[in-house]
Amino acid sequence: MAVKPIRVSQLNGYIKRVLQSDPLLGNVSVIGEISNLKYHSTGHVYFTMKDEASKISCFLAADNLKNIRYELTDGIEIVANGYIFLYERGGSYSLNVREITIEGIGNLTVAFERLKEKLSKEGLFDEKFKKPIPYFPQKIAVITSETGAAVRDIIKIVKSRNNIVDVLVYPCLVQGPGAADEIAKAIDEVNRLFPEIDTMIVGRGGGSMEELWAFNEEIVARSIFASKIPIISAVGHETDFTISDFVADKRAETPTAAAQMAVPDIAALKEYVKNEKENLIHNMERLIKYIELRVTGSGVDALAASMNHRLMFHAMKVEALQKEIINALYSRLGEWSSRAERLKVSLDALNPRNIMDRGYAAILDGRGKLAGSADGFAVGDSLTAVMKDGNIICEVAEIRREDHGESKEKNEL
Amino acid sequence: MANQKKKMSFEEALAGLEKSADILKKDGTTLEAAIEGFEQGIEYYNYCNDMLNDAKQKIEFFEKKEA
Repeated sequence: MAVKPIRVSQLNGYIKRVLQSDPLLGNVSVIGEISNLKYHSTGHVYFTMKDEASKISCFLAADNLKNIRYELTDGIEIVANGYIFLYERGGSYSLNVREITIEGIGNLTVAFERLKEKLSKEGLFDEKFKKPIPYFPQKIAVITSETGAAVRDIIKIVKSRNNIVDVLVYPCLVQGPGAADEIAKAIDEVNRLFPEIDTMIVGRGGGSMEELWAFNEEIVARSIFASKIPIISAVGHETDFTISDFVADKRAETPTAAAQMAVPDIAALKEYVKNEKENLIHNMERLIKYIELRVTGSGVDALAASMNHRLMFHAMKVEALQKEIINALYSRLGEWSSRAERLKVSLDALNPRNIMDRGYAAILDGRGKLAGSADGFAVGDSLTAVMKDGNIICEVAEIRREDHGESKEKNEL
Repeated sequence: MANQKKKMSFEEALAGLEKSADILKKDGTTLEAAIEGFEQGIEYYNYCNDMLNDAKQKIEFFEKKEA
């Protein structure tokens, strides 16, 4: 039957209506392997899904990418949920992806390694960003499910070790879609609302890789990295490693181990502090005994000996000085007596009596004064001649001066 | 000292106590230094002890306010 020809755009418009009104194609989940993965600068993601026999173009809008819980990579098998969309301009159709899930340990491990590599390159695991876990916290926060085993274990351990630290449990989903978002928000919120918190424990008890997956999501890793409060990551069992573990300041093998790390054992600390005090007292006593020994034992004797020694030394010094002084006095005395002797000889030599022995006399004037010269005498004056054995009273009969002229003149005066 | 003590962390006080015990062990410590070290050590001990006996633990669950 001949039908009236239609334009290309009319045909594509018709196909679009047929495809997009089909209830099955409007909500379809497709299993396939990713290839040709391209992140566009607009934030949208383009890739191809394929199996052994066929392939389909896929489009993931930036808005939906935010909800994807896995780091996508070529070769990984995913389950993509979305709807068929036809681009009228190009006449091609694609799967518009709303959600992606990844199943199986193999595929999950690939996604895990991809994200680990990416964040490691960015430096999120660098040792230099690790904050120390406070040794003696006043308050800790626990971000986990309020009904899980982890919160019970943590509270049990904290209570058994420490009756001082406050614990704030911040409940959140720990598995399933939306869990990562809640965990990330909880970390941000504790930082914002309770900046006084010393340490945060973020984690959950054991489970399958899928159940633990929230702790492998980038959004959680970013929040942990951004946290100002030190974080201990405690996810699953000893053998479970998550991205959270790598980015956290400290990894605990289990929630129980995290509690042990986060709070000190008060009883042990009391014991230790008591021991240190006893040490202090013991050391003090030992020191006092040592000083005592030095003072009472050799101390006093040595002191006495040293005092005696010094006394003797000073006594000897005094004695020597005394001798020196006496010697000096004696020598002075000798000096003085010989000087006196010399003086006596010269005095003897000058004694007028000695001269009188040789016939000299001393003449005294009328007033009894020694007269050394004829001057002053006039005829008729009386004078006394003192001889060695007596005095003779005389009267001047005549004056014969050695120098007549002068004496006459004087007489006239 | 009282103000300083408020700010001192448990670790600092414990380190102080350990150091005080060490001072007394050192050779050539004078009696004055020893007495001072001892008194400080006892103060650190009391401080640690007060902290260790401050048993007023609170365990609470945060109630999220629904927006």
